[in-house]
Amino acid sequence: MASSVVFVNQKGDILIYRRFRDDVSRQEVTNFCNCIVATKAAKETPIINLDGVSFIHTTQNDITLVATTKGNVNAAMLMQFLYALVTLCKAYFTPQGEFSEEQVRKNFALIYELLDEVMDFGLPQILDPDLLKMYITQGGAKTGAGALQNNIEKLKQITIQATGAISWRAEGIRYKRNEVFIDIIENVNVLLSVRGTVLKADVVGQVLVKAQLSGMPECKFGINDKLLIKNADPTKQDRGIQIDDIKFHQCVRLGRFDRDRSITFIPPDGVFELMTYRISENINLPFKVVPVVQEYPELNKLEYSVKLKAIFERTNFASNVVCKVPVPPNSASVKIYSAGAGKAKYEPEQNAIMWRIKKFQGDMEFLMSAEVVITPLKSDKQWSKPPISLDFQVPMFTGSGLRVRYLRIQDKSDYKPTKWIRYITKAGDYNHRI
Amino acid sequence: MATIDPFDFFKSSKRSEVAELELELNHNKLEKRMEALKKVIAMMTVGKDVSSLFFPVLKCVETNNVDLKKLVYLYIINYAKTQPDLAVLAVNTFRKDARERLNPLIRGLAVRTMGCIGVDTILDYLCEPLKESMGDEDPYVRKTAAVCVAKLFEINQQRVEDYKFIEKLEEMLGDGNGMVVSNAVAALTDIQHTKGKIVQMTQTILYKLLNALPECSEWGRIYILDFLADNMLPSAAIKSGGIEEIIQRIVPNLAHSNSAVVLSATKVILKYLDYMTGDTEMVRSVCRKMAPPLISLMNSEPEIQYIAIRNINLIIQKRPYIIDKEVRVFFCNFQDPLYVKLEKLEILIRLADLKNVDSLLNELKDYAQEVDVLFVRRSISAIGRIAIKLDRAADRCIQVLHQLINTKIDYVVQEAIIVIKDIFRKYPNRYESIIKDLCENLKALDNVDARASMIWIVGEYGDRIDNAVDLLTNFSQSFKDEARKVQHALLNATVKLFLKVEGNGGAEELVQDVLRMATEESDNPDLRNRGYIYWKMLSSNPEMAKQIILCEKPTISEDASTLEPQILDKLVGNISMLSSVYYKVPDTFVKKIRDRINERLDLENEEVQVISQQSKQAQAEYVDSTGVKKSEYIKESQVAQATYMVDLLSLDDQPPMKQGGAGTNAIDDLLGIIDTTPPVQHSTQPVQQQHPMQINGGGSDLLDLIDTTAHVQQPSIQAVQSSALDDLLGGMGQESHTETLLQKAQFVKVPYQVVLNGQTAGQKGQQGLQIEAAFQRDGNGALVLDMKLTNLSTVPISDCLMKLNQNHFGLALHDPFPTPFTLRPQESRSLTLTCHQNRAPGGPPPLRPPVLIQAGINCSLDLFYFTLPALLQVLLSPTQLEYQMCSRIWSSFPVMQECKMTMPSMSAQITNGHALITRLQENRIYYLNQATNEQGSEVLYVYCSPEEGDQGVNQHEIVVAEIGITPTGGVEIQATSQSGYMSLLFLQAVKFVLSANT
Repeated sequence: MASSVVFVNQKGDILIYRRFRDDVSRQEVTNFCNCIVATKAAKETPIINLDGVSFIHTTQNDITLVATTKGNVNAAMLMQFLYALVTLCKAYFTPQGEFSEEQVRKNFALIYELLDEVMDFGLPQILDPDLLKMYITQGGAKTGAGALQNNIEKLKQITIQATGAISWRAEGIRYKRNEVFIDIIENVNVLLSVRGTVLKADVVGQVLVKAQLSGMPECKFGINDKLLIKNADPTKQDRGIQIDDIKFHQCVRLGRFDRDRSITFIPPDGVFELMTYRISENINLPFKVVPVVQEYPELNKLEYSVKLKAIFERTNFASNVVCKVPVPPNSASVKIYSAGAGKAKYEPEQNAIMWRIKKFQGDMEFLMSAEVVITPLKSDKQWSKPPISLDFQVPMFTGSGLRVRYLRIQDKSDYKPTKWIRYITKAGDYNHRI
Repeated sequence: MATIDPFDFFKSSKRSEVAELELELNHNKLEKRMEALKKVIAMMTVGKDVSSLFFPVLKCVETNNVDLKKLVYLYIINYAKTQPDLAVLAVNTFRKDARERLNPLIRGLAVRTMGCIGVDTILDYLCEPLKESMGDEDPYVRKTAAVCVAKLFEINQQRVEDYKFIEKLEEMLGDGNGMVVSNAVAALTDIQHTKGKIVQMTQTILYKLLNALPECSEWGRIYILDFLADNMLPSAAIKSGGIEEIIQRIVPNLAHSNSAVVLSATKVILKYLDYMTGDTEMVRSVCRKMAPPLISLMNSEPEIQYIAIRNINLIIQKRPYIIDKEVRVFFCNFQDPLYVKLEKLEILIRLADLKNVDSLLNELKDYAQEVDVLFVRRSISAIGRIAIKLDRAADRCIQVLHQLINTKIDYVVQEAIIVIKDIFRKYPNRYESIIKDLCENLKALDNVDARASMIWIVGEYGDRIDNAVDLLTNFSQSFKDEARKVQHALLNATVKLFLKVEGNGGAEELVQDVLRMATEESDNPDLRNRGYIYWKMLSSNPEMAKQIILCEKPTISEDASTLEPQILDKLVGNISMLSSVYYKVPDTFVKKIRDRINERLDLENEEVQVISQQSKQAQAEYVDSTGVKKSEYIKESQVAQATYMVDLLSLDDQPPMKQGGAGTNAIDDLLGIIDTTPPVQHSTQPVQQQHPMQINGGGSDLLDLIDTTAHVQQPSIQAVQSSALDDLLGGMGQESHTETLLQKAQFVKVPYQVVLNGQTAGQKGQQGLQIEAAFQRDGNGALVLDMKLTNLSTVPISDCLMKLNQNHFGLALHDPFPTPFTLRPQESRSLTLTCHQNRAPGGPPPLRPPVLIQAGINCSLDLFYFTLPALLQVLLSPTQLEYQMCSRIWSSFPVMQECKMTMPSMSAQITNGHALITRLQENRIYYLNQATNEQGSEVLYVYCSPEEGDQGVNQHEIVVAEIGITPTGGVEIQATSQSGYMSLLFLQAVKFVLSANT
């Protein structure tokens, strides 16, 4: 499907160029690099057609990744492939998680080797980092291919795992202590209008699991899903929550979920994202923002007063609350009258007053007020008025009300694993227009 | 050199460095060779030529180290194309590695790399190992081998057929390993892109794939789902309740975390939903399941959001109730990239209804106060489009616009003016009160569209604006420097104003001034012509002018971005693909598909068209678009036809002269004698035609240029719409064809082929004439040439003359090209020209099918040469020979030219031997007898001979063929003739005749 995959830096230089089909020439790719990447036009749209060649691209840090084609390919698939490729590179690079031009240059031989394995004739193949690490060791792991070559059993196991249904887990994993850690991480996205009405609100949650389990454990995971509870026992009082949509890690049996909404799986080893979900009904917003912004154009002055109120239990605390209150870029002086708690400071490089509160007790409210004097501009270019945004973390709180009901683990060897569960709610896009 | 800084790989390469690398590549130590090879690859990446190192690099392949081997292979792939001779040297390594006993990774690597080399000379060495790999015990090798078949197909289709690799791929669909199945599916899909349909979807294959689906990786799921959408099981083959079951098996994929899987699954479900006609409750419940996953895509990365929103726009056109309550999800976030915001606006307009319009307008008003100019303008335009879409919300929209105008921000006001003009068009005389505010903001008008719109408004409401004359006088002072659009608007507006205010307050001076500038000082012919027309109308009959110019305008509607149903269905079938992102059907931007459509041997899936019906259709359209009453036109054309017949007669006396020209120059000669055919001028050209823009508009108010274009459309959508027209025509042709067939058994129709592409330049370098044509037998058995001419240039095409070059079958046009014949820009017309065969002079026989006949067309645009393909069945003689004569001729064949062909399947309409004979007889391939052949199976014998001409039957060209029906419903044909080309032509014709559905 893809004719070539290219890594380009922001000057338009080609760093990695792997051709999979012959229909797109290097000249055409160079043309794209010069006309689009180098001129920063790549931000305009993620899919560009230049003289019959389609360029599907995304930019991560200072690298633009491009998949080229002349056909009618699956655009979403190639885009996902590019993301997966970045994730894969990050997993291989040292230090892990860093993706930059420097890293790409340092690891180019490895990237070529990976590209050879992850894509064949332009078709994405195997992109699972844990799996690839078992047999692509260039540069990184020191175990070397030499040892592997003589271990026929191991090789067979790899290929079967790579192609098979349970490609994410190898046989014969052993732990002295069987443990499993579950993190429920929720991001609350809210958009409030100037008048404080909720324009849209949803919670995007993530269930991260760190599994340190022996053998091939069969797991069943239960949450307070309204539909599941209703299925199991229609008379029960606990109503559960209504989940709009769930997406699962590939280990979860989708057919089974579709049938009776039970979440069953054999987990990969180590950390993985079991599922993501989205909820838009009955959301508990942890904070309420009440901003008042008064403009006095004739005095070249603005007055701010922002009230923050925590709406969760008094026994609970939010940490690292940051309220970003934007001010016009032509602000001359900012005078902060009061900040009920924490520190408020004008940061010119952010064009905003940053109000930081380390620890915010539940059911409390604080007020910050400030006055901004602006230098009048000759042109009547408008101030874009970005929304007030909020960042926070509230442990042991879920915006959606989601709770884990059980995690049952069964393996042939019949061990009893220790289970740990944490909840945390963070701010996603928490914006209040002014 | 103990350690190497990785950055050094990319640094300078002097001449001596290559030599140094060569030394290092020969080094004893593995590490050294590895480092050297990495440097070579690095140089290759930055585009330097290191091909001189081929030998030393190749030597490194003799190693057990997989890492090193991979680097060598990478190098070979890169240079094999340019240095095929060297690549051959690597073949043995591949063969050896492909048969490596122990390590499946090495076997896989070798198979993968072999296919990438793509040099024809090494294919012989490749196929055997590939065949073995397809049956390898290790799934990793098998999945790699499956993709390798697609690679081989790209290089050499013949080998793939010889080794029956496609059949093997189909077998692989039943493999127990998910990745093997999905890669086989991906390979088949890829081959189908080049070759057209090869897999006939059956219940068995469908269930094999559905079973494999849960076993597959995310990518594998996508391959399978896309394949299912492209290859639908025919609805007739599904048992009752089967559709629900198929959909239920696809639904779980909507919960997959990969958004491409979600989109592909949506596509398959939508396509199978089309089969469900009655059960609306079921359809709705499936649709309800699709909504949440689609909305969740709005939380993904912006690039995916972009693709998803473009797709959702299609999905809600197809099934509006999938997402009808979720308008808030598409509200723009401050940090969304612009490309996402603009797409969200389109969805917001589409979802606007009376329930959500208030919150929507508040939202749009907010957007209109942001800083990004393009986004602001689109938001304002969206308000206008909603006003036009929802009658009952128009008041509120106008209110919001009013508030926006009062901000006095220049681009906001200008955009508001543009949309208000459209609102005035839709709701005349309802919101004039806003004009006052508009007029107050006049100074800031620097946008062309805004100026033109403002001028239109003043012209339209001139009788109610006190200082209308002054306003337009102001504009007219810069008339010469204005853009054309503004000039046109100004000309129209002053004339309208003049007629409305009856020459009060200087309107007369103004109109005279503007008319003078338009006619005397402008170098734009459109403007000049229009000026003259107005002038003449005003001076000869002002009352009449008033009636015409101030007539009621047709209403406009907000459907600029709504697609034709056929196009929409095609695009929905391409969800997640580039096609659905571009809003273009694949063949408009994929060259490979166009090539396949143009490939004339493969006619199986082509649509069949009836030309006579179509030409009527085209004529009707022609009449409509010019706005002349139909009856008038038809009368006129009949008169013209009559005069034309007279001319024809006089021409007909001279056919021998036409053919007298010798050799290839004949065309030139003939086309040179244009003067002998007096061009008959069409005397009643409607006035409107003088303005080419009018053809696009189609409004009855011919004088209002800007009135006709309701909205700014995105260019991509326009492109789709124009191609929609073609499809529509195609579709109609097909329908009417079935009708004619009910009346009478017919010759199989040959579909049109593009014989002259619009981009092909003629002898003078002009381009823009596109011709599609096909030779046919019409209902009476006469040989005709059906043509469809399309004018893609910007000027009208007329005075056409056409001629066929001398050819082996003596084909010549009987009718001359009809006159008068004028093809306006963007117009298409169909013609049917009778042909006759005169075998006397003869050209060389064709070497291979189809029969190609050179032709030339001389027209006002240019002289074009092209070739017309003809299938043998239209050239056959109706004469039936006696059995004895036939067998005598056959037994007298001194040299047998035998050709064989196997067709795996026939048209579903041919159900038995009897139907087969009937079909052949209808197409002049006659039944001889039935017998048992040497292999002992029952076969039919048939024969045919080409149209004879003066000398009677040419025995050399008689074809006798043996046809056996295979147990699978296909046929085996063995054709015999004394002339080899006849056998080949015969096979091609039979293949077409038997596979066409009538």
